[in-house]
Amino acid sequence: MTTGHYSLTNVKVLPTEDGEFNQNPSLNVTDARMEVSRRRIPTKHLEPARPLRRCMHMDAEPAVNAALAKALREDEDQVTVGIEQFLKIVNMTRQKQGRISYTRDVLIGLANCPASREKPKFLPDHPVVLTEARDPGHLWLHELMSNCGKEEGAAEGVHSI
Amino acid sequence: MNNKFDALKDDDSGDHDQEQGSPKDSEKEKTEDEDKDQNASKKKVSEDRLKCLQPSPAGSRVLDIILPCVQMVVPGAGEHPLQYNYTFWYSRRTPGRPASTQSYEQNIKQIGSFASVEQFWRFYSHMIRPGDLTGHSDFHLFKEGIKPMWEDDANKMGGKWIIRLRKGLASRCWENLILAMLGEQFMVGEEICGAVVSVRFQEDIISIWNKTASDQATTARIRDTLRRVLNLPPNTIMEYKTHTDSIKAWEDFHGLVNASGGR
Repeated sequence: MTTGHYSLTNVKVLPTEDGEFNQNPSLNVTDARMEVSRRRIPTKHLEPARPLRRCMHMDAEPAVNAALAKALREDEDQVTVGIEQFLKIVNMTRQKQGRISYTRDVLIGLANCPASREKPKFLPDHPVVLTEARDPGHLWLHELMSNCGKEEGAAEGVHSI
Repeated sequence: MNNKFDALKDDDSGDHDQEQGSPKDSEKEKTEDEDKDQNASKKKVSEDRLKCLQPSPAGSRVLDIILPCVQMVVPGAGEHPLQYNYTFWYSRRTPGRPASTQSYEQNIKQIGSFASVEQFWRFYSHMIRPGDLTGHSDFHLFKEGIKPMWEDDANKMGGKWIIRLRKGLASRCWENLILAMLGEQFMVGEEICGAVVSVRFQEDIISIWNKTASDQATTARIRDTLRRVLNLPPNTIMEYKTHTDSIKAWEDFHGLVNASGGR
């Protein structure tokens, strides 16, 4: 092993597992010096294959933190906007984030809650519009029994509504 | 059925919404009629509605019919927001008249728009189920701002999957279809435009409309999701139809009926 170029104290040069270090000593000397110069802890062992990657991590992290901090500051600003604008912002950001999805069971589970049973504020006066809410529980159970025969009579286009 | 053309149309094309769409020229005709018919105050109301509702590049013919002024809906506090806002529509062919764009205009009505799961149920629980409808009627559920018409900007390059159902299945299939749509189960990005259930003579038809008929990956995914959420038997026939084909069929049909030139 050629270690003659190293004069730094406390630096040990370790061969890589595949022995590449031994075959190309001059390249590794350069790598080792770069590593030493950038590291905060000069006593750590040299590992020729890894320093470049580490440097990238060190560079990337402050950027990520800065973005995060910026995002947090923006969030704080948004707390002061009105509810309508807040909802707009929520609506816009939720497009970018994942989709809002619900399974059939979840949706049906919400059919019975009081908010789902209220009469809408604006409902046109129309024959297909009911004045009182249908019972959704009844609706799901009812359908298997009722659908078998009842629509045969309606099929001829008898306009009862 | 009111006349043989109705029956013919329903049977041969299954194009339940032929009477819903209208070629552009008759649309113009209609707008002119409206201008003549409406007095100034009524027009003012229409304009106010126009401002409140979403922009409608195709004109105000649908908006004129409709509702009290409704602002863009938002989810209520504590409610479960939906990915998109939607609007319920209802249309029904007038007895004794063949399909025409005029009867379309008179017969399509907005029922209401919603932005949350709870708001959806509020409307849905106050409406007759499709299986209880009589006559030649349709429920439409479209994203807010998209009219249930072939000519709408969102629809004009699109098409629809059509599934014919024997009588008695419409309510359950319609519910499963719209719950899948509202719950974003189709996972085709922005592609879904809306869904329609059509009550017809001997069958009911459900369909789901998407934006880009030429996007085969999307249409295949919609088909597969439909099979899953509707629990369809493997031999169920599903047909994809582009809106340009629908428009052409409509024009051909009406050209045939009105050979003398009047529409």
